[in-house]
Amino acid sequence: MKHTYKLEDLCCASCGNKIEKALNQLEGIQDVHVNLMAQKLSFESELVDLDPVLLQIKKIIRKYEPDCNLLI
Amino acid sequence: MISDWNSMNTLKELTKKQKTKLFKIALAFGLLIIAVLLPLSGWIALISFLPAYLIVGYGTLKSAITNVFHGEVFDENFLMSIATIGAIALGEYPEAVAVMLFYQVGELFESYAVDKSRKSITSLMDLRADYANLLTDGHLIKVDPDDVAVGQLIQVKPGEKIPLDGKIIAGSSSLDTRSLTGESLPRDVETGDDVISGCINVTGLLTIEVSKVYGESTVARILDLVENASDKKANIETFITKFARYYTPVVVIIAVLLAILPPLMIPGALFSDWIYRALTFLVISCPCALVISIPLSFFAGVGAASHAGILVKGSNYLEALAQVEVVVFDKTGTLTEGTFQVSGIYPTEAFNKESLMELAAYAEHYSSHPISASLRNYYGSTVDPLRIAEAKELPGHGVEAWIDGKQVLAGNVKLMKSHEILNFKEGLTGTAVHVAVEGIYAGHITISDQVKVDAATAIAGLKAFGIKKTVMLTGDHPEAARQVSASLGIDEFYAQLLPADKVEQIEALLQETSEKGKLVFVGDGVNDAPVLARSDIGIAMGGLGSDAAIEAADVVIMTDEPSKLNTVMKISKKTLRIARQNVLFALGIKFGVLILGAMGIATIWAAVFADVGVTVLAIINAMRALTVTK
Repeated sequence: MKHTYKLEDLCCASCGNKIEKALNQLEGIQDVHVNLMAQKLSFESELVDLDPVLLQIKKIIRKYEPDCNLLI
Repeated sequence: MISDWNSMNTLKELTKKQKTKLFKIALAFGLLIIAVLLPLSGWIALISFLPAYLIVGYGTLKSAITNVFHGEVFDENFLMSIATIGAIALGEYPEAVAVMLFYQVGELFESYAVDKSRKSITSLMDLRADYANLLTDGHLIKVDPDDVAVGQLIQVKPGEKIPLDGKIIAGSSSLDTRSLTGESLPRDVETGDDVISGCINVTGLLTIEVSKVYGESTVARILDLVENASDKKANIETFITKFARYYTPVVVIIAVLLAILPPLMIPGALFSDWIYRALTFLVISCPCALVISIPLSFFAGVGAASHAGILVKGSNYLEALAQVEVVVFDKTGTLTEGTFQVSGIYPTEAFNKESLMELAAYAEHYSSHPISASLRNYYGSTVDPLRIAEAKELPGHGVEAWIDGKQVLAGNVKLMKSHEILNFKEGLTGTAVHVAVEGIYAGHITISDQVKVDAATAIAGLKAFGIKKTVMLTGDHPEAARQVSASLGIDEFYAQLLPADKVEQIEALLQETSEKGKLVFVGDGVNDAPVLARSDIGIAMGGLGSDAAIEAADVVIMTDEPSKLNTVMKISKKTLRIARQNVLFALGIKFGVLILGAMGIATIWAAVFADVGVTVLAIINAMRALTVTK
């Protein structure tokens, strides 16, 4: 199933790319796209409980773009 | 678009974060000027510059430290911090503050410009209606379009935008479909017609029964498609991303080497001199200009295309459209109208065109065959039913009717033969309606599929563009194909193809194209799914209202005009040109300043321009992709 979230205040393109690369390495999610123009994060996942992976995603985002918020 | 950046509304458009930044910049700038003007030196001078430095630099310094702890060393914050601390160590106090100050200015402008560009692009596709007039119990309530369910009734007054897809149950009007199709000609609609969200109701009040919730409406799907187009990256974008990953570390390493080696190796070289040069390297080490302006150019290009009524589903397709070598067209419905029209009237000597036409129209008056419709349309005048005594439909043959007391036959060759009509025209390759009165042949009327009015200009346009080959594929018979192909100037055509044959033909053509050359297939989407999938770029026409077309293709032309292909190719070339300009410009300036910096000719001010100034200019250039010259 495809999931989409808004990435508030994502403005650095190279950070976006780094985030996308790092997120693609995470288990449980595939086909990760960080869309700078639309400020959106989307990925495919078969997981029923997304909370643990969302926590990891938030951590990675904070590492590269501390100002950026993941809106659920 | 660019011109409204100069308005006073600029201040109001900044977010809270941005306003705070602006305030800090202004304050620091003021303090900087004061510190420069004060005739101080030594420790006191340092202290006079510190407030300005810390106001603009604190955030950066803090981020640099936290990021290093997270493992992210080679980021802008760290590099800017090192550069400015280095400058302070060298005693270049104004430079240190200036670098931080301009870095902040650059960041602010970048975030403002990207926000503004984003808004500009999305406002081009001003498709969403803010409200819907829900009709309940005879009252009209203004609601959010999101809250309307399937089956509910809404009213759209003249001047309002249709918020949801549905069917008209009362009223008739004409609609402005400009935002969806780029077409200025209004479409007439009446009770019973389906309408699509995003159109503006021009003349009459419409009551509409909603058929899709907002999330599934045409508007929502289009907006979604355009936003997600940035997910599919163009080759030039991925190149820049890879490049940027290497660029920063390489420049930093060279900076370190510059700071250490020459002073140790070259006799008489000043440590401070070379450290200064190394600092200029650090300032230029951020590839921001490139990394932000390329996706922005494509986002603008996709936005411009959708404003022209062409949905491009990925930046990669927009890029590919600039490299097209072969364009393959489906015939019926794509290059031709797909409906039948009278193309010629050939009476025998005893009759004339008008009488022949009249006979045919009267004979076919009660028939429901599509050919009959074309005859009636062509005839135009009202038929007096009293003159028709009887009409019999003979399936596979035609009709037999009694008009003004005389037996009239209208149909195909089989009809003529079975009624033993002599001297009828034989050997016609197209569709024809033969007419006989009282056993005597009156002549024939040819029916053909009309070529679209803009098909010829479309093909001519493609040739002018430098497309190597135009091809037409059809399931129709060779003579009809040959005629259409010749009249349009198409290079090759293949007729009587079954769907599987079409795919084979595409495969053969793909073998012939060069490595970088792309093959485009243009069809009506409904029956052409495998062919669309196989080609490099699949384009479906008539997307307005066709879910199947939108799903199957890579590019969807909302109207039925083949000439839109030329428009999207123009947009594609312009976008790619702008992206390349930005790459050359950004890299050129950066490398230039790096070299000059290494030689000691460029100052930190030049380095700041190479970073901030170039980013700003690249963003402005990227926005040029929004304008389409027709």
